[in-house]
Amino acid sequence: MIKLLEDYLNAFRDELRGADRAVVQDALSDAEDHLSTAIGEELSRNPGESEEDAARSAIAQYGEPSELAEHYRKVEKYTQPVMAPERGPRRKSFLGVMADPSAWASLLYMILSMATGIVYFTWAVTGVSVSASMLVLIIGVPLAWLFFLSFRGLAFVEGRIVEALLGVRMPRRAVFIRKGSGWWGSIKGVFSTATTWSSLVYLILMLPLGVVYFTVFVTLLALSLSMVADPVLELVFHVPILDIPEPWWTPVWLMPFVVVGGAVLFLATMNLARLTGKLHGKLARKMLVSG
Amino acid sequence: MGSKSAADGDGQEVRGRAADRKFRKELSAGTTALALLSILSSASGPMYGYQIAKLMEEEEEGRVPLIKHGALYPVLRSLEGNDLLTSIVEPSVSGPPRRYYSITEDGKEALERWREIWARTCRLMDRILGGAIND
Repeated sequence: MIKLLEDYLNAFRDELRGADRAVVQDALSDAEDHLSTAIGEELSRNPGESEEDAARSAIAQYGEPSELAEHYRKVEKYTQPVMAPERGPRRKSFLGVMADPSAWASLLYMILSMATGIVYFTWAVTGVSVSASMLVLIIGVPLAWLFFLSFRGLAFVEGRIVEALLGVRMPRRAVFIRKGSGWWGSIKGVFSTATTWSSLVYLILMLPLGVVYFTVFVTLLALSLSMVADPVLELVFHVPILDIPEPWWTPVWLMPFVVVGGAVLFLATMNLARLTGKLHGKLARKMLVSG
Repeated sequence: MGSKSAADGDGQEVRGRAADRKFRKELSAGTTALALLSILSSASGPMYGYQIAKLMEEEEEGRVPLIKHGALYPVLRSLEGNDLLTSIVEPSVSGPPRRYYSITEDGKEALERWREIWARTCRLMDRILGGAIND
C-alpha cells in the first residue's frame, strides 16, 4: 500500500483512540474504502499522474484526521444501535424487567443462539479441517483463504444479530480488504489479522454457549410458566404438575404459593436473560471487533 | 518593535484562520444531512459516497470546500440508521465494492420538513445580516 495512505490511516487511528471500538472500525473502513476509490478514479482520469500524487490530493480532500475523529464522535451520539430501545429511564428494577424490551430481546437471542451456534460451529469446523487437510496440495492455500473470508463474513452477520438483539454497538461495515497488494498480500492480510482468529474461536465457542443458553432458558421458562398455570392444568385439564415417578397432585392450599413461586421464577429468568445478554454482548465486542 | 508587531500580525492571522475553520465546521455539521438528503432525492439513481463528495465539490467551484469528504460517511450512516436512506453494496470493476445510497419515503418526508426549517433559518439570518432587525 502507498506509504502516504498508510501514514494517514495510522494518524486517523491515533486520533480515534478512546472512541468506541466499533466506531473506530467503521471510520477506518470508510476512509480506506473512499481513498482507494478516489485514487483509482483519479488515476483513470489522469493516467499520467503518479499514485503518490493521486493519494496526496485524495487525502487532502478527505479531511484532517483530528477534525474527522471529532466529527465521528459527535455524529455517533445520534446513531443508536439498531432496534435498541429508545433512550429514556431504563427500568432496572426486578419487576420492571417485564417492561424492558432489552430483556425480551436478550431472551430471544438466548433461544436462537443454539440454532446459530450449530450453523457457525459446523461451518467453522468443516472449513478448518478441510483447509488443514488440503494444505499439502496447491489448492490448499486459496481454499483456506476462502474459508477464512467466510468466517469473517459470518462474524459480521453475528455482529449485526448481536447489535439488533443485545443492543450493543457493533461494526456496520465489514473490515476493509485491501486491494493492490497482490494475491499473496491479500491472503496474508486475512491470516495475519488477530480478529480473523478471534472470530473463528467465537464461532466455535457459540455451539457450547448456545446449547447452555438454550437449555437453561427453555428449562426455566417451561418450569416457571407451568408453575403459574398449575391450578388450570390440575383442576381444569387434570394434568399433574409432576409425573415422576408417579403423578403428584398439588394440595389446594399450596397452589397459591406455587403460582407466586412461578411468577417470581419467571421474573428471575427475565433478569438472568438481561444480565446474560449484557455479558454476551461484551464477549462479542471483545472477539468480533478489531481493535 | 517592528518585528514584534509583525509577529502579532501573524498570530492574529493564525487565530483568524482557526476561527474561520471552526465556524465553517460548525456550520457544515448541521447542513450535511440536509444536503445529502436533497442530493439523493434529486438524483436519477442510487449514488455512492465518492460520487456524492465529487458532486458537492463541483458545486463549490474551486473554493475551500465547506464539507470534507470524510465528514459525509458518518452522516450517511446515521441517516441510514434512522431509516431516511437505504443502501446496497455492489461490486465495481476498478476498485473496492461500492455502497450505493438511495432515499426512502421517510427520507423524502424529512427532507420536506427540513427544507421548511432551512428556509426559515435563511430568512431570519438574511434579516439579521442585512441589519433589518435593528432598523
